[in-house]
Amino acid sequence: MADARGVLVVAELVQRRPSRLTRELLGLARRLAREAGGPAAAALLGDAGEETAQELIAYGADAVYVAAHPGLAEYHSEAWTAYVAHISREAAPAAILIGHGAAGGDLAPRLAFRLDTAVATGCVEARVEGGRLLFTRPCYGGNAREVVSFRTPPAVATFRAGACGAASRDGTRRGEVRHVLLDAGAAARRTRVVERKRDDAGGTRLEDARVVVAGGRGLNGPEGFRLLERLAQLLGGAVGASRVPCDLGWCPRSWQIGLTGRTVTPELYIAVGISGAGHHMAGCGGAGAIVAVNTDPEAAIYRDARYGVVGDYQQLLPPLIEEIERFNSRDRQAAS
Amino acid sequence: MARGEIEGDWVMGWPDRKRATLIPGKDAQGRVINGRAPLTELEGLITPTDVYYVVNQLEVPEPVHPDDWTLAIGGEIERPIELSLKDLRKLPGRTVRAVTECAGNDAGFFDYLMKGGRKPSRINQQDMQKRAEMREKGELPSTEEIGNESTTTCAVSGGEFTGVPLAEVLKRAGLKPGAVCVRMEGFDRGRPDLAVQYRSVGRSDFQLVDPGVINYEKALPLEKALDPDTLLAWSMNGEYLLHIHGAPVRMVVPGWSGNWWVKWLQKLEVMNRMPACYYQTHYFVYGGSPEDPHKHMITAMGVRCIIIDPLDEDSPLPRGSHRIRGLAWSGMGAIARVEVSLDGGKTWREAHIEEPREKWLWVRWSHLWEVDQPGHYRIVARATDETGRVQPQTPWNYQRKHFDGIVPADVTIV
Amino acid sequence: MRVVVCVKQVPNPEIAASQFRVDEQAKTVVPVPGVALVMSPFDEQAVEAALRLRDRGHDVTITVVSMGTESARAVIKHGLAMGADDGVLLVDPAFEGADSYATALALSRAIGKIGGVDLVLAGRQAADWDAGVVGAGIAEMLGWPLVSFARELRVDGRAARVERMLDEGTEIIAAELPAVVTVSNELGAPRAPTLRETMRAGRKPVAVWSVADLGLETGEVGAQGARCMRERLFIPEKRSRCEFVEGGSPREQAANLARRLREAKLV
Repeated sequence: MADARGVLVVAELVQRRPSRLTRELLGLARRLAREAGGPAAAALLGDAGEETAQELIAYGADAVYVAAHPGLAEYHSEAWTAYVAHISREAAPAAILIGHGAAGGDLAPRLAFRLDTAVATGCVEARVEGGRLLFTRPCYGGNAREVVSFRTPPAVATFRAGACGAASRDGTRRGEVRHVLLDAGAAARRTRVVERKRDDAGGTRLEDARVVVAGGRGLNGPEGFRLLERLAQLLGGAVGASRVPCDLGWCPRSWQIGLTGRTVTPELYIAVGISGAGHHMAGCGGAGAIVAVNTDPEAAIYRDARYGVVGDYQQLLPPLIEEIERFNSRDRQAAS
Repeated sequence: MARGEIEGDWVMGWPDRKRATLIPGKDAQGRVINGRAPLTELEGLITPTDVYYVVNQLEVPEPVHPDDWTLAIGGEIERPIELSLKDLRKLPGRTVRAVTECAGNDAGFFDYLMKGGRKPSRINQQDMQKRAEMREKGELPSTEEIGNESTTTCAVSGGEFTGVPLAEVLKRAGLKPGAVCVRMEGFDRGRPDLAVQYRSVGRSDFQLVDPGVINYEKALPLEKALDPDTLLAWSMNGEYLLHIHGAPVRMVVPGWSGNWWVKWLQKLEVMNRMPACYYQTHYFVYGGSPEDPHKHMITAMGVRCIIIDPLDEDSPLPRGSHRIRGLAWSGMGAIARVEVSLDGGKTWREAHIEEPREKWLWVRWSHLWEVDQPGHYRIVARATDETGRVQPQTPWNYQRKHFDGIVPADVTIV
Repeated sequence: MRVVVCVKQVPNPEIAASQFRVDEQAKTVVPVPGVALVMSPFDEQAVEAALRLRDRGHDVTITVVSMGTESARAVIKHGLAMGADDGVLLVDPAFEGADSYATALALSRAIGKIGGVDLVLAGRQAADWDAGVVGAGIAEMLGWPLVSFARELRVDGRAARVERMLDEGTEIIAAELPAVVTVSNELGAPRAPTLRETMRAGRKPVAVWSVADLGLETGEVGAQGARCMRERLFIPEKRSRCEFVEGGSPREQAANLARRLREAKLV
């Protein structure tokens, strides 16, 4: 791939539409492609069809490589690796951008080794400098950041949410849709999905939430999350957690935000009883404003917070909920 | 009396005098692999475990959990058996209080008594760390470096050991006729450090046999093996053996020097001939020179008596009354008598032996000394054991083992 | 069944952020005096996953493999003390400066040399660079199936049955053996070594292999074999601009906070 050009985004769908992270990656791909030259392309796997391909184009893809197969609708490690590798060889991009999650975290390293190149995982920034692609990623539990470059093309990278603003939709954009087909035997399946268990999302997806209320060790037990849920519901948001409550079984595993959990970029992030260790902040550092509620005035979280309240959350949250409810009912009265 | 710094320690949370400590030699990981006992700073008859001297010939082995340990007994016996520690503890036990002494303890005094020169100090402890580092690197000292450098009074300690008589175990295995010795094997393994022997001899200008990597082993003559006080011990000084002292089980061979007290015991083999164990045919032997064809193994220690108070380093002392104090022990039985001479051996006075007098343990003795005249005094003391042996018993030998000569204390009164 | 667990020695990740320093010139992390080097916690959980197979009655031989300096012997010993059977330490000056690619190459060669391996386990990522790449790389280099982010691992005949973490839930994957599985923190706490196992560990065999022992050239491993280059290493600057919301009582504090958030149009 000596003449590698352009950027390829591996699309992730939520209800057949590009996920917010995919829209962000398309925006990033366009910028990098503009600076480094070449097209911004997308790889679309699954059974979403033409309409979704056109959506990807509307969000910035110049070309969409479609591998249409119902078996690819859900992420499958071997099949996806085979197909994305195939598309990558065909598109010959200089960089491949993938969302940093359970699928991307599995796919990207495999893909990189399959393509005989390297990978940067969990990136928060990418730029072109002197014609070279540079990727910034947190490491050492969020205590440090490293900037890496690649000796071999393509550069494979996974990105956390918030690395780039989402691309805006332009329904008038036109692009090319190419269908790729792989020999049936090419992705011989030695692994098979036996069962999938989805946690009851119970409302807004964490990644899409405008407000996230997250709890930590300082909640001192699972009961505290009931209070957080009330506040999140009131604000139209979602509930998250740091690693400790997940490990202790106070809340579902899928609520974990941080280096090894999910990355969220809400406008408002309310951190309750969270100390603010680097590995947690790696998952919420991109939030618009952080409100920290903690009993320890020295907690590291206050260094990242916009607003800080020192005190016992059990005494603070109920009046906060009441106060916000009062605003809301006043708004409703004003509106009627 | 503790001669070191006695102020400024916190013991169990309370301010107290500083406690005597081992002078340790450590390996690359900071673990103690040998140590010198601060004998002149200790009191009583039992040396506390954490200052008990440690000498190892081979590498200190990785520990074995007591539940994983077994002892195999084979050779010239009716029933080969393998005993766990639990099995061993089901046999009738015995507690023995005995002196453990390194064969090379005080070896430096051999040369001093024969050739004169600088008197080795009883409190001049050698640089154990440097020794350990050289050992790690496999370096050999030159003859010049060796000089008169030998262990002085710090490779001897008194302890209380609990275990099972070796005789009990042999009885259960059933000795076959013709058995002459029991080969005792430890799970400590390694290549003998030749520097140790060069230091012991005091020169390094001769060839040594290199046996390669071996397990530590000694073949104990049957008569000593059947002595009821020869133990397989799992306990020392009121607690389980520490790893560094040979846990789970070590040999206790009272009266015989430390090299017989095989640590980390893993195997006993009854034999009908004496095997050529490295540590009793090449090292730990009596002989006239490295080339002497008639070397023979060292066994029981001689009769010893040392003056601990006053030391040469205590001078000058004021006129008045002083109590001369010391320790005495023998490799063949209890101490019967200690005599003190203040005129270079012309006249001897009986010293007071402090009770108790036990067969294998040392005794403390003392003698009141009234001195009115300033001047230099040479104090000597000698011991006699219950078998009638009078100090000294062991002549000079080229490896300088089992020193039991009479060493004077030189004191200035002002 | 032979299981290999790949482990890495890292600076204790529990270190306070205030103690953390980097050397921007050398692009390395400055060791903090007194802060121990430990087995990366996810790798510890990978060892735990292997031991749980044994607990369930499988006849497993567990080999702990680590690439690093001589000091990495300590993490192999830790694995042995947890209950693994033997260890392989990959030590060679040529291994220095390896990226994930060069590391995966050396480890996959070591796994080949061990021979007869049915299952390779590793932590989902190491607690130093947090990359999470080497496990997948080993799978690709060996051509074996990969299941990443496992929270539970069982073996059923010739297949591994792995429950892996998804963003919102879990899935159970059946993977033919031999396979590579990376383990996530959801697996649960690793066991602490007992005194008895610690003592046994000291007597378990640890092989030491160099680049040549793996049939590799020095140019293929370490910094020379790396495909990724670190251009910069830095500590992100944090300018604290936190506004502390006060009040005479919790109720007043809460009201003040609500008002500030309202003013900022955040609620």
